[in-house]
Amino acid sequence: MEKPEMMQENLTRPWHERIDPVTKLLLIAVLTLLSFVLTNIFAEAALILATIFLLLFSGKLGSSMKALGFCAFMILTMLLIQGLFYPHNETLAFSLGAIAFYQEGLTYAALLGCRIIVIVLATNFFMRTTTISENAKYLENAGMKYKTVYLLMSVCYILPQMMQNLKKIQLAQRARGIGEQKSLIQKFKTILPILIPLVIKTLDQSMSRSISLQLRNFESKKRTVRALRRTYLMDKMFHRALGLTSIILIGCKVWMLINK
Amino acid sequence: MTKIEINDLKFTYPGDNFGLKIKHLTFSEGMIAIIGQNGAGKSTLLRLLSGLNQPDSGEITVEGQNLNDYIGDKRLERIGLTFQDPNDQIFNATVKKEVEWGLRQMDKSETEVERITEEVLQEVGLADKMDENPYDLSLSERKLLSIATVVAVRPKILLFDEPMMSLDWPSRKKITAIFRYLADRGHVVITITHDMDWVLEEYEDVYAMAHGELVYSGKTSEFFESPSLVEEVGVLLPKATEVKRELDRYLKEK
Repeated sequence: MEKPEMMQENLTRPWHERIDPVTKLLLIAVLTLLSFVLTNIFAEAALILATIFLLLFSGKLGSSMKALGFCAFMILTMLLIQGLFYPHNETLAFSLGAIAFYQEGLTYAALLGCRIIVIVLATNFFMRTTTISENAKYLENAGMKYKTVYLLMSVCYILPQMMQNLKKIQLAQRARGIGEQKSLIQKFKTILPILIPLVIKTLDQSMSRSISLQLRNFESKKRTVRALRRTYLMDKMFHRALGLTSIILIGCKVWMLINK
Repeated sequence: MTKIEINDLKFTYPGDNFGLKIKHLTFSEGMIAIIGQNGAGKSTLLRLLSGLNQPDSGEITVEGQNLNDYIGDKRLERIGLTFQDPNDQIFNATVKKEVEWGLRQMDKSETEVERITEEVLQEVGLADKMDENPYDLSLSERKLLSIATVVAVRPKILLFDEPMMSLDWPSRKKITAIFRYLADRGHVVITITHDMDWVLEEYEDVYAMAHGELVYSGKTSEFFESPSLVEEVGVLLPKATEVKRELDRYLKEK
């Protein structure tokens, strides 16, 4: 039975926070699989629109735009390569002087590009609406071994922590005049002053963490699972529905590959 | 005369609610202490003063010149900064090489590099550890080493973020003597510290910050005599001030 204050908290939370992390992960899986099953460019565009709405309604669209910028370069390269060299190129789309771009290649690259956009936007929705600690708590409560959860979460944490360290070290080394060098060889030499403290600091932090875990009796058999403070919206039902959809979509894709 | 002036300075970290706002502030040659709680904006101010971060608006000038123009391509000679964590700035294989690194960037002669390195390591008390790997030193020794790397280069402006943190009493005395020596020779030595006893003992003037703003600049003794200011800034009273207060109370009662 939910406590009244907990119910109140659940009601005040935005909709995307009332969906559990596993549902969000399954949603990414469904959207990704769907983008691979669909072969029509307009259907793919509709799928992109759906992910955009997902981000828009969760208020995370603006912060996800950077990720799209990263994709743009990759998609442009694909359009260029496939437009020119796709093996089934037959119909001329347009030409730039002596360089001819073909419709089949461009369509194929656009399809791949759409899939990339769907995956990136859907992943962004997950990344921007869940925290690592929330995932850990949920997985532990769902029955996963706490050691496995800790290992998973450590892996998730290490990259942002290293990025944070890197930023700090870069700034600290700039204060020592590193980064002001002009020649290429000098610039290359500046990698070490950043890399050495970064590696040592990261190792040091891992060592400190393992010592503190030992001191706090991480291996204790008496350890109990921390009760979830939050309850999620129909999480079991969503898991089943999305899990089933994923299986159906995998089946569809396999069927398509067999009958190709 | 080296004079740093800040006018209408505003700075915010992207995606952060914290903002630094300073209407007007002047630092002159000598020893300067900046105090305040964690998150008051002290380290941010230091980074802005070092030119590592750029203000959103307003200006920092040194000797009448814009800070970036003042630094130009002579960062090492102009501004030195040590971070709270010495591990962020250490990367050479030996203590000696660590100190020599900055000097070599300034194209000093080999004999000069040798002489200054030995002198500075002697000053901070690390002369006997010259050939050791910096990462084999204790935290306080690494702190001394990071200070030595900046002091060796003798920039006009020296910025230290909590230099006394984790230092023992003899090391603190050595560092204070070095700061005093540099301040007496026309350098601007700006220090962030949480050590109020040290501030009262060594600093004539103090700059106090709270919530990203400068709330006091003036005589150190006057600052500690104002209970409301001390409370606003959120620092501990120096022991000497506490004793004085107790003594005053006792005398009044008598």
